[in-house]
Amino acid sequence: MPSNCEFVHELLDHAAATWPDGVAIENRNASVTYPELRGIANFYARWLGEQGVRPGDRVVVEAASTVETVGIIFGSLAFGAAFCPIHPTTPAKQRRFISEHSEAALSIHREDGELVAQNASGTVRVPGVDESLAGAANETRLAELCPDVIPEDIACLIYTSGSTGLPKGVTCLHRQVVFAVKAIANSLDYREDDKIFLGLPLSFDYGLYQIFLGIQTGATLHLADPRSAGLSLLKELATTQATILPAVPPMLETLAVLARKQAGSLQSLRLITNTGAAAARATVQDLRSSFPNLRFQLMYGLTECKRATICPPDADLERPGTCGLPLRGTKIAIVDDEGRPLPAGEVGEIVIRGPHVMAGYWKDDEETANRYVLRHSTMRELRSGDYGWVDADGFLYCQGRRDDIFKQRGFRVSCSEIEAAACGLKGVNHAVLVPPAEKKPSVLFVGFDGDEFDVISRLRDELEEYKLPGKCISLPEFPTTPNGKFDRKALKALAHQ
Amino acid sequence: MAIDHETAREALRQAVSKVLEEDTPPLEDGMNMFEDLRMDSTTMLETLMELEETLQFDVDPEELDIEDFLTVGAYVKFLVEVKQQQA
Repeated sequence: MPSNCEFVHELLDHAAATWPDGVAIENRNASVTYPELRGIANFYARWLGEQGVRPGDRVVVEAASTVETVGIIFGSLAFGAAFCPIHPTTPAKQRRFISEHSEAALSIHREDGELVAQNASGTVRVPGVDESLAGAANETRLAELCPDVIPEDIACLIYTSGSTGLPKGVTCLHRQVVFAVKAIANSLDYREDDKIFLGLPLSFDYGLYQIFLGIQTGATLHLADPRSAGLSLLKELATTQATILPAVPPMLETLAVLARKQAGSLQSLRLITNTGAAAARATVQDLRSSFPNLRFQLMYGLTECKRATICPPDADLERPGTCGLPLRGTKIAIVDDEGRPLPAGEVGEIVIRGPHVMAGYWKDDEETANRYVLRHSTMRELRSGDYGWVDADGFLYCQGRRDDIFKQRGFRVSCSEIEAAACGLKGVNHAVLVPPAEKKPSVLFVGFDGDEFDVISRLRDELEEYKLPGKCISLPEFPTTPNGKFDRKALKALAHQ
Repeated sequence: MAIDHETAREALRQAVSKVLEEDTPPLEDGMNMFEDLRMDSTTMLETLMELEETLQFDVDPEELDIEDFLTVGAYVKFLVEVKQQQA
């Protein structure tokens, strides 16, 4: 089923033609086929035009796990507008920052439980999936809606925590996303008869790409409330008869604990793909004992190139600790601090080259130049900021970061972003964040220049929930290094006492 | 042995407090476990495991429905019922 699609929305045209009865998306209440989803996308494309959106614009979308979100995403793409997915817990202030920074023509979000769209002239209600389904008989190919779009146009901006302060908008062109989807689908063992259980939010790129991977491979995507991917994960997997679970490490840990209590009837699940952070080997081992038929594909990647390496199913058994091989048609290299290539077995920074390396950070040329480095006049490479090594056969082993970005609950967060948000609160004069460690939550140390208050609850107006520190400790005085900087090592020891 | 709502609510408060390693104020039925008590999927699981020990019951993972754990009120009702069933 190779397709010569050049546009992200064209993948859906292709799926609708190839699997006319295939279920594209289901949730607890409903399911839609590929042709129906294309019809829904047609409906939202027209609706976006009626709201004053023009091809080339950006549309901010609160990406709740719903059919509406998927319809709006494809509607934007087909209309020639780039979408910008944000997490449903994004506070209004952060959402306004992203809307303004991306110069969005429209922001779609939930207000008092209702999905609304806001543009320069006001706020309107967004039609729900029932209304959009009324147009689902529409068989217009999405690729025909906007003949002016070219593969070089922007498909989406994905805001992610950068190594300095505010979130950065990773700019992803149609040709880059399409390449990434095809290359990932080529490495992942997803099949036409699979059902993918999506408990990851659609605002995270790996969650988002499950839509595209399902469409590329003909699989069905089960959209679950991300909250149900915890305590009720085993039940949900059993009830939905899902075959594939894209996971982040906390989800695997939860599943391992639940499975130890009872692994019984979970017969359908055959593949777990892990991203977000290296999965604890013991957890993966536990799950393998509980579910003998279950296979694993461990991976490594970052939003800036979507994905760098994928491990063939269970190849980590032969090579413990690996996160796989580069995507087809791409390369990774390990370099030293001066950017010189290092031989196999030596640890250095992981550098990524290929058509999946995205276009850069929206309106941030400086950070783009720092991370998307021109090696010579025709070769651009992505400096990942992660460190690791490759073995003689080219398998990557990742050791983690050396800057202030860390993974919390599987999602990317930066210390400086949280510290900046805390210091932005009136009454806080110092803030240092200690990232989470084995079984210990992240700890925010704060100094007050007035009365103390509950910093975490105030941070909820500034940051998405998944970024909030686990704990906050007030310090009258901060330990400092001889250079006068905050002594992060001492604070780390204090946090983990 | 069956328990009443007050006992269940206090046991839940203590479990949350232990898992989050901080003082948890008295709970009210309307509180949302995720938003108000800042639980996530990992701490939710740890809390349930803790309650299994302190209240002496055993859940079947295939029977766990997220709706039973979204609010303090629903959680307390779940605890009272599970203790009744396993009494």
